[in-house]
Amino acid sequence: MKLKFLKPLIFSEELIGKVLFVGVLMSAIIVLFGGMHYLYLHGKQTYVNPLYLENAFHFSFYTMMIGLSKFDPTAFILLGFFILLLTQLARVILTACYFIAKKNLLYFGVSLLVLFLLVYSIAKGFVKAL
Amino acid sequence: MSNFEFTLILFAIAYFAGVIGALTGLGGGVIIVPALVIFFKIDLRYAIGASLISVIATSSGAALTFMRQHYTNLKIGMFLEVGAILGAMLGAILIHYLPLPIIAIIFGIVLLVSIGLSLRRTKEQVSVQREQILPPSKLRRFLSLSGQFQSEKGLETYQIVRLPLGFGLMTLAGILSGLLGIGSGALKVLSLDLAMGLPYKVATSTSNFMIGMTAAASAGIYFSKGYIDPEMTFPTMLGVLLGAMTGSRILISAKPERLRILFAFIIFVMAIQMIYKGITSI
Repeated sequence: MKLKFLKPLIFSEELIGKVLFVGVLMSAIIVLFGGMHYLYLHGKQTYVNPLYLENAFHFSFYTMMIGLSKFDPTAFILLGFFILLLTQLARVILTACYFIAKKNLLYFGVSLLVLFLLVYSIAKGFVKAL
Repeated sequence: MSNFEFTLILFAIAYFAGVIGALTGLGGGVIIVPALVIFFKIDLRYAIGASLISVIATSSGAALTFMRQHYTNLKIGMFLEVGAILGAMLGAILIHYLPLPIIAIIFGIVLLVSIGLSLRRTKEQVSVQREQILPPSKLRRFLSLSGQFQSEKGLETYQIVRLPLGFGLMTLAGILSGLLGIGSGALKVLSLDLAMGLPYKVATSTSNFMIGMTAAASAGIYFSKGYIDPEMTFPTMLGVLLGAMTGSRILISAKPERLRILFAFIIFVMAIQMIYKGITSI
């Protein structure tokens, strides 16, 4: 009985909104922490406009984890961005759940297709050097 | 200039970009990219990378407000997102091959068109004929292409028309999003509202639902190419996010029509500068 009552609540539109809000809040806090730490360590150095195209900023999930273990501020900023991207995955997954709860298989399938494309793209960005 | 000063100034400019983006309805991306390029001489590709992250954050931050209003059409949003994501990935790959001056010129033109679209909205509330009842074809019933929303007059039903056109426009919006680092909300709303006949409120919240996912798909490709610089992106993201929140507060308390026209003029000047920069550096 209790479950039946909860069911429409579980995958409601509000839930999608709330999860996104919490996700962006977590991301912003971690990015802010990493940024403050970066400014504390390097804030007084003279700003140099990097010649980007010659030394593009490359990293992977693996290098990010190593950076986190060394308390590297850049790794924390990246972790914040990573959480922000995961939040978008959550948006698709929750929408897929919303459709399955409504027994709408067609749009469940459409959501899975979007999920697949998004996972592919995010993985391309973060897992390439693993 | 020290790193600290650079970060602080960048944060302040990103904040104003967020406010203006929310007030004009164009989003922070269209303002932060030219600002980074014109004021900080930052490489266009990295400016776009920073903007993409800000766009995802802003769209997610606003989602709760939109979702609570129950205007979002999740079905049509997800369906069109397939096209938008494919476009976004294509756009993010294209930027690797297109020369920068060409991208700057495209950016300027898209900016000009977006201002035109947003000003049109202030002058006349466009209403498309929605009463026309379409013959219930098999495909329409299969995709369940209609929706309902709660308006002041009660529960209103709307029909979704011209699906292929909408899908095509949405793919174009995705390409522009990936190529220019903007949410391309103006084009998304246009295709949902004018092309497909969704009510304006449904169109804006469905567009917001899609923007974050589209931008995340491009951001993944940008990360893989190394176009997202953490030290420059963090003040941009936090500034635009806070600015957008301030902007939407202002929108609730007042209808700043004159302010919108002033900001549209600022964006117009930036668009011209982007086009000029592109043409002179060819």
